[in-house]
Amino acid sequence: MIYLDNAATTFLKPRAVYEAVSRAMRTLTSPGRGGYGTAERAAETAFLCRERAARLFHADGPEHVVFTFNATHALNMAIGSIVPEGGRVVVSGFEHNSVMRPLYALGAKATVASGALFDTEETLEAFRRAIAGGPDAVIVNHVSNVFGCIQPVEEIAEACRFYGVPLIVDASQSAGAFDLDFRALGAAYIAMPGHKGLYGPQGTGLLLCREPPKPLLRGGTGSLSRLPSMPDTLPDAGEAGTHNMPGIAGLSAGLSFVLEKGPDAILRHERALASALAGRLKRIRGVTVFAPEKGHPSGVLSFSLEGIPSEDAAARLAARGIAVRAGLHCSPLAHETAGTPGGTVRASFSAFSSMRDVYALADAVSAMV
Amino acid sequence: MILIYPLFTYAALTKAQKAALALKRGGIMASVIRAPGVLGAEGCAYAVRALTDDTEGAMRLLRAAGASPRRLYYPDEGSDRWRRTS
Repeated sequence: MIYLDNAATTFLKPRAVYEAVSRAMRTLTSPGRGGYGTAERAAETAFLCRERAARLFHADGPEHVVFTFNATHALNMAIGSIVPEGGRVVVSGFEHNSVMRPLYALGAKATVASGALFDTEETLEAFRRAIAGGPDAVIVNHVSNVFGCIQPVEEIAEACRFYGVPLIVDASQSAGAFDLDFRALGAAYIAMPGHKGLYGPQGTGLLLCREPPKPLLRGGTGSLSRLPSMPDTLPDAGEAGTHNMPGIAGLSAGLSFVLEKGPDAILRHERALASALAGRLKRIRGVTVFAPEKGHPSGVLSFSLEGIPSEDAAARLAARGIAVRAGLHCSPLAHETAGTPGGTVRASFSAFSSMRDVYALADAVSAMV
Repeated sequence: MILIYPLFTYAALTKAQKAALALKRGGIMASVIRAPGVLGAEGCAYAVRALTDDTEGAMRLLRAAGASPRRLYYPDEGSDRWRRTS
């Protein structure tokens, strides 16, 4: 199989990840739930994972790293901590349903700040205007899971700091490939999955927290057990119940891989592949490629084929052994913003993708139209 | 010679781990343990056992790391009780 659905889940992981998961199953129990060997090793494993994440994302300390099940879990917790019922929120035009549905449930009024696709300046202007209106929060999707376009998160964060508006960053597609400096951004929360660019297993995610979040779940934390409420300390406030130790051990190995390789090198690799694919697809009649003139900004690339619905195109590619994503990618807002109501076909790369994958997909698309 | 080591207590495991790491980086042997039952009045708690007679120096390291303890105890010599100092 040629796997090009890394924006959903990176399928190939570093060998150390598989080994760590397997080892954890056999050697770890639950951190903070005992003073015996397997519990202590679990505690050390969890702490090391937090430390690696804190180092990669420049958090003030390991306690600012909260384990979640995925980015959706993390975003729900962040949104629930900041956005009041019926609150006013500014979002980018590329938010995923993991942001829009929690906002809808809260009855929040979302102002979409967006410019033309890949026009960072226009997007930033729209954000600055909207932030000046004093919303309760700003939520920004750093890199679109549909088009791979980048939102100018540093400048948006600067505007948020200036107006004193809390910022939530959805780093689902950027964590592991982009430099994310939690401290410098001054964001309230950064949410990310563990199973994409951090190369951890499914069922893992992280929420970087400046302050303790409002818990989504309530239960045992292994701390302050006589309190009837959840502790208001980090990271325990966000972590009720037994930890996913095999997942955390695997995520820790994934983080180690990213730290060693460096996000910059991973991004260069993914950009080169996405740019090469964009170039090849643009030369095929009947294919519309959603990419800037030169150099794709990330490893996520969308395209559409004239006369072939995206789901059908993806099914035909799957029959040829090529795994891509089709449809709305759980982000109808992004398609509204870009004017692609029928959805797109998306190819997305990882550190393990190669130019051969690009050639194979371009050839397969060429044969279809 | 009997070494009298201080015990720094924390409500959360991660904070205790952070404290132990700060002490180790400062050259003080330290380990995280579950707080002895009598010290965890609010329920489960954690403690960092440090092998040092320089409690002030250890406290400086902990404060600098943002890992100040909730309480500081010493074992009562010749008994299994703990003496709270802060």
